[in-house]
Amino acid sequence: MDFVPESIIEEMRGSHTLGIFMHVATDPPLHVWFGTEDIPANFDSIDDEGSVYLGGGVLNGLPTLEVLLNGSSDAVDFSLSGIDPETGRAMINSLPPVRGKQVTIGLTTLDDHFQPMSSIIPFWQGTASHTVEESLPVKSAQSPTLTLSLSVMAGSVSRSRPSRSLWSQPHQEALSAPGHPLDKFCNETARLARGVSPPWGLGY
Amino acid sequence: MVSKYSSVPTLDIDFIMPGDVSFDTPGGGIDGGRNGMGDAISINLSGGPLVTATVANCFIHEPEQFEYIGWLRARMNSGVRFINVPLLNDWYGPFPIIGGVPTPIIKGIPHSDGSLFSDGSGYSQATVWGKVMEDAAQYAGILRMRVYNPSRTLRHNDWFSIYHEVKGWRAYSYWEVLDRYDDGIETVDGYDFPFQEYRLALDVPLREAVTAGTRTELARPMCVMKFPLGFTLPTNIKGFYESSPTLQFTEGK
Repeated sequence: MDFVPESIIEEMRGSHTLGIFMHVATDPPLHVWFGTEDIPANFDSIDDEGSVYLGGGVLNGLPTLEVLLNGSSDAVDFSLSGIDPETGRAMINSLPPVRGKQVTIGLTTLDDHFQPMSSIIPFWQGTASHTVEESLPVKSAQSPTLTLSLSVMAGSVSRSRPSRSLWSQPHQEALSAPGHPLDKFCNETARLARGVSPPWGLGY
Repeated sequence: MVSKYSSVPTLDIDFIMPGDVSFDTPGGGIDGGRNGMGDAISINLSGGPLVTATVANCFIHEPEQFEYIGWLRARMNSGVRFINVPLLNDWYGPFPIIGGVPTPIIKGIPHSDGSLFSDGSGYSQATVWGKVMEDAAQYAGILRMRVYNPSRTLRHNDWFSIYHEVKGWRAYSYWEVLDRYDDGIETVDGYDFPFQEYRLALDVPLREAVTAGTRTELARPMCVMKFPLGFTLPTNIKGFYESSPTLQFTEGK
């Protein structure tokens, strides 16, 4: 079977109902989807049978999901607003163990009778970093909204892994795996300032 | 605090005398790609609609009515408490014509000895009601339902409501009749009730699982609702003794 079943692709060619689901592998797992009410659905091999995804209000901003490419990928923030107290509580209750947990985003289409047309198709995975709760001050005539965000890292980019911010030889040696003191990858970087294209290599 | 949907009071919609009542089931959508005419395919992201209601231009004149509106303001403003809002389907529901008007609810039913309550009122009873015939899961979009005493077939649309244990009263309606089963007569406590039975495609998916045998209400179906964000109901008095407030509701969440 295709990764995205043919019937889903066919459905997406016309007007359709799209469900976007988010699974955070906390214990117990947090299930949220971007619909109005709770729906039973599941990711294959991630969810148990009979998981119910909480209706998380209306999708506020789905960030551009980037895939780790050449080591650079942004952290993305998933925000929900118009959260009802119950969902907010469920999210806030799961705050402490959120860090480092796997976050899976998936989608599937719903048929005429609001049933998911397949298991949720996972299309993006990241690692949860931290949550942000935000309620901006508003003027008197406006209504305030509560927005919860979850910052998620793609790939291996996280704070526990230092980045090569300086690209200097001492920095490179410090970051280099133990047992490789002869890593001369950044040996010539000082020459960049003089407009020279230095050789990037092992420094032999 | 867990939101409380059940055992909430019911809006007395006759008492506040609305001039205009509307019910809606909006769903959120975004545009897909556009063609040369600017038309787009629609992508519904809300995964099904919400029920909303507007009770507009009520005629408030008696002091007791003002009290009632004041109670609504006190209870409902800020949108964290709920109330059951009856949907006025009296005119077009499948109800029998009694005394020239469609009658969803018979009032003034006396005691067995023919007497009424001391204030002159009697018991009341729905003329038409229904029953769920098959278990249905949460978020199901199809319901098999038996309707008792209907004055017509179910064909285009009717509202009905189901009382859920946790989620309280929720209103549903159908957009397609998928199947019609054999009509029949069911005997309950010695009385015969003619019924029709259907498989219906719901426009609002079930908010909670239902079991076979659950009663459904077709006469003045109710939905547990709250004031939408940003709506408040001020106590408003025109020329000392009149007011015509407009109430907005959205399905409880």
